[in-house]
Amino acid sequence: MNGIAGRVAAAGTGLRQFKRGTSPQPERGVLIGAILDACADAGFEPSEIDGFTTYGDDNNEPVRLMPDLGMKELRWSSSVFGGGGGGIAGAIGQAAGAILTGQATAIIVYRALVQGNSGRLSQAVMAHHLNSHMVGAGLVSPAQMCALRANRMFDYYGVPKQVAEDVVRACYYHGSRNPDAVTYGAEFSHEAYEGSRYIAEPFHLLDCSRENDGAGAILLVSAERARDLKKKPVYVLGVAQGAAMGWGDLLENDDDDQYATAGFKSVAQHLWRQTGLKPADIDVAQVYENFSAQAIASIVDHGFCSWEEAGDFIRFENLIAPTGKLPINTSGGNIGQGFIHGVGMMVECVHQLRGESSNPVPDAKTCLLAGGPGAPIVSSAIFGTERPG
Amino acid sequence: MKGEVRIQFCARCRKYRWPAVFHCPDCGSWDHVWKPVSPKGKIYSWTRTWHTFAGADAFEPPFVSIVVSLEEIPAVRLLGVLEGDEQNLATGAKVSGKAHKITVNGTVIPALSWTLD
Repeated sequence: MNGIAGRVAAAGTGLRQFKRGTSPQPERGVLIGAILDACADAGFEPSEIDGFTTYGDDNNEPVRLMPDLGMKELRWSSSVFGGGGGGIAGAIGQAAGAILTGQATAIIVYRALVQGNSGRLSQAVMAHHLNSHMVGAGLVSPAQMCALRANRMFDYYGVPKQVAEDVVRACYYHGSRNPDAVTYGAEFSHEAYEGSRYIAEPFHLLDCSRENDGAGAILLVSAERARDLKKKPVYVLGVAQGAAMGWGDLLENDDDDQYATAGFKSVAQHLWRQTGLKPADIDVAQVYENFSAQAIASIVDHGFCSWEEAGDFIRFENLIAPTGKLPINTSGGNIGQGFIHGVGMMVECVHQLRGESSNPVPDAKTCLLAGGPGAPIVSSAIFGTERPG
Repeated sequence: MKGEVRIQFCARCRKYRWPAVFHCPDCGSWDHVWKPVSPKGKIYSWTRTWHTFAGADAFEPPFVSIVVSLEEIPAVRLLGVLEGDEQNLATGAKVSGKAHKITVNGTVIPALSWTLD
């Protein structure tokens, strides 16, 4: 049974992004701004917010946001475990659960990241997982851990390396058309991609998302309440989070059939079963790409194509709006738009389904948010323009 | 640190456990021993690090980190740095390892280093 089924909706979005190291305010100030933007977008009184959810080590305690927002009470605060962006959709699920069980009525799902306050994201993420065995092998960063999985994926499943470049090119293409993206107006070239320095093989610099300062927020309320607000509601059709047996923080001992995946074996099944939808029902997807190869694995994990089909399906022409079979990362994604631990992708799901994207997908009715791939806990959500009948 | 490689082994159902557990999910035992294993195996995956990452100062980039599937217990994979000749570095290549100590941020930790056979 699916208890979410469009009974909760995103009513407003806020996103403030700056070049790393140039945030005009400390982290909490930027976050307050993004939350107020989300409320203004929805035509919602900030003092009516009564809950918060987040993911991936956000340092901003919800209770400390209350004074700036003039909140009357806090009824819900929670974060999805795990240091990576794997929990992003799970945070939406927590908020939906709280609203649908009457524990809160208006929840902000947020993530804020300003390096001057929280330090480098990669180190915060790894702090969850590092131990001496990894450090003794020189493995200290998400880039290296994902590189190990990527090399296995290219070797074991025979995925052509061109696929990774096509994913990056699609992110650049959409970002170059988004005035709010770090790659706005930028040209992608094969020479620049392959010529960019190696970080950890097989990843060149351009295979990697690079951190920005900023904050993002979406306001979630019941579907009934959303209808009375300013913007067209974008409904949450379903959410799943977690890990299957044989996946997780296992010191690279994940099951053989999962090692080179993005970790969505159980989560994707739950998402499709819960919503009654299938990959062909998805019009557009925001596929979290911490690294290019992990986005490939995420697309396969969610059933859009098999490993054997990846070379044909995950092609640049298929990945771009408005004509691709599965346009992905239509704001530019983490690589093209900017990286505030993925929160921009959550915001783009809402913009795309309202017709506000810089790269609109004509008549898009469903949007998948595939959360941070390769993380010990992953999560995904589906948004829709209509409530299921 | 004795320079040995040992893997956790359930004293009751006699299965290897890695990563180590407190409680055996198969037989319910809380009793485990650590059995020595031969540090030999095949490369399951690898990466060559070029970027200088904070915390990896013990190694000079570029250096190769590998995941090794053990010959004696293929389901168990261990990590380590590949030393010496890298010419035949590939998934599936055979390697032999040794346990030693390295110093990271002033703390001595155990580490494995491997060479291609």
